[in-house]
Amino acid sequence: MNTLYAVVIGLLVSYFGYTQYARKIDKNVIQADPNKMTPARMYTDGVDFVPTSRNVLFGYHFKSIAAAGPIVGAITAAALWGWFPALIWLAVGVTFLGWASDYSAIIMSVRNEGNSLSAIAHRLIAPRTRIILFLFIFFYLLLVGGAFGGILTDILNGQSQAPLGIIGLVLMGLLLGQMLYRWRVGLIPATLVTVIITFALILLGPASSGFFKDTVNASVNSMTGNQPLVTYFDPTVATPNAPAGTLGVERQIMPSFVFWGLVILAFCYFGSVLPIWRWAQPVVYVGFWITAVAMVLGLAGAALAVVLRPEIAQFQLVAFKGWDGGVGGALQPIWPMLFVTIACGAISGWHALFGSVRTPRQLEYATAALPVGGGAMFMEFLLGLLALLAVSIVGTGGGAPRFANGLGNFISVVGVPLDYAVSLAFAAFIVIVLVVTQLVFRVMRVTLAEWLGESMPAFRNIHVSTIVSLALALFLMLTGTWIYLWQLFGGANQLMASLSLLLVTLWLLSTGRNALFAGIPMVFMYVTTIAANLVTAYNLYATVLLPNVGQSGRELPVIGAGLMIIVALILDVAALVIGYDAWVASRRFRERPAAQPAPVGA
Amino acid sequence: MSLAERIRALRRSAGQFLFGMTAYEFVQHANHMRHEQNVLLMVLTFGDMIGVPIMPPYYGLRLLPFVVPELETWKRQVLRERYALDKEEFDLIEI
Repeated sequence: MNTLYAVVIGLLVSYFGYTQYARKIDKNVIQADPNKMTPARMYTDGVDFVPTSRNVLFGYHFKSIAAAGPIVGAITAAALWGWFPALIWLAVGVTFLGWASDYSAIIMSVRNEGNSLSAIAHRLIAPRTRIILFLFIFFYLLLVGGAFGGILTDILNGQSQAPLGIIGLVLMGLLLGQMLYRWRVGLIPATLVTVIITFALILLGPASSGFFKDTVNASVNSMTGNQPLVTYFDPTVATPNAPAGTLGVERQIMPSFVFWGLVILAFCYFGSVLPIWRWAQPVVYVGFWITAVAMVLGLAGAALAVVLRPEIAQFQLVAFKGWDGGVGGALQPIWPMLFVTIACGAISGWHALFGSVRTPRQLEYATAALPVGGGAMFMEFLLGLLALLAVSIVGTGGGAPRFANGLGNFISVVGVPLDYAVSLAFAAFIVIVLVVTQLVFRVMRVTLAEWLGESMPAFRNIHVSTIVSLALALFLMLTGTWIYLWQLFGGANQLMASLSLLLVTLWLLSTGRNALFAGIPMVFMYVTTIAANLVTAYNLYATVLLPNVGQSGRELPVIGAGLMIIVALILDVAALVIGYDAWVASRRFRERPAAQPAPVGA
Repeated sequence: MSLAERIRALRRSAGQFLFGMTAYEFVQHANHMRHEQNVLLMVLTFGDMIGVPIMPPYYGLRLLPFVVPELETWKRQVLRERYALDKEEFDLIEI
């Protein structure tokens, strides 16, 4: 297998999935009609409801859904089962589930006066569905905050060339916000100044490595005489100098690890509490250019590598490692675990829930829902595919460095020197995770205030809700087991996807339409995800909780595993409650005549 | 459609796509900031129309002819039921 074949397969899947399946559903089942009024045209107000060109909306929607999820998921799945199962799930998932989830959420909102999915859930299923939705969102955000926070802290602590670029990104983000909103500088000159300086600082990263390693980390670690603050056993990491398949290492939490963790959390704190124009938005914007340049160059390199650099175009990673990727007593059966490990590149509940809040209120014509919602999902699939290719051409190494080496090799194909290309790829990975993480806490703060604000008014204070969110995530970063954190995050995400498809199914039933295109993926994702959460809970019990419980000095993994098992069970119980309510609601719709029969003709 | 026209249309579409990915969120945010100022002014002068008690509407009456075209949209906007997920920040998060 080489990269060109994979790129061609990806493009063919996108083309045929879109033209032969998605377009037919749009025409025959949904019957999108350009002559019907959309909320954007009916309620135009220049703020929320604004008729917008579908090309503009396509770019906006794609940027709103594409980030670190498809990249990290593909990297992790390829390491567990090999590149072939990951490729198959990405392709099949996006063709039959992913686009359907994103597109149908948008079109359902368009047909319901632009209401968000939570409002529609309240009406179609039951009032308590909205409360449960908050539960999903909160745990989803907590898990992703813990997982991404852990990745970032590991990288900043262990890869000393990385911090300079991150500091540059933050400073340039602040400068961009000031230039745009206070000094009234045009977007193009402000972008040129800030993005070029950020690129320069990223490429200077290796030169600053000595300072961060020998001065910053060393002086922080000297506070404890270079002794770890805590040592605990992590049973999911391969044991060094041991036979293959042997797992378990004594993880040492050094003061420098905590220092960088607190730096990340401070960054996220400002992203959460400051006005959005002052911090979060400009940092995301500058970060977007870093990742966009790396991804576009990487995709071009992946397609051209067969011709220009055939030696790097061949896959080095094993195609198929086996049906069960688990070692050391852990279960990682391909079903259901693959389907939650790769979430966003194949199907994502987050897209449906939040992509459907603003986009449907800006669609000028209902016929634009497919190119915007479905098209953006097929493009996200290509992003996941690029991440899979990047890790597949590099045979060894851990997740993030392996991805950076692979993407760096692709970028080098188009003429960028390899060292700079790898630095750029590594920075792109860090930036894409970092900008997501700061926004996670911003949204978590809002969710917490809405969820608990009425019963506990203190949570309405943005500082209190932010600090509580950060403290919970820090707890997971220090005690959680990364792979299980990621799979639980995938479980929460995919349960939201099945909930979104469930809503669409009920809506289609209530309007007398054929609901199979949403109903079958919904049942598959619902059953798969509940099973995956149970497997993760078992893994935590068998490989983390049981071997460590009662042993002195190993309290941290025991507490972390216990907490994560509780989260897994809460998610499953919440899903079962929603499933029961939906079953009752579907009987209600079946027993009464269709309120709004589908129009005749295409 | 001739080849030149097709190329022009393609370039226009690509430009709009790039605009959507980059500058559009700033445009939206600027619209929101302007809207917040407008809502404040409207509530201070015409708040009684949506049940907010205000001072005797002398200035409201002076301004009324200028805001008549926007009144219905404004009332619909501020009285629309909002859910937590409608918050502006949510669309920025990209996972």
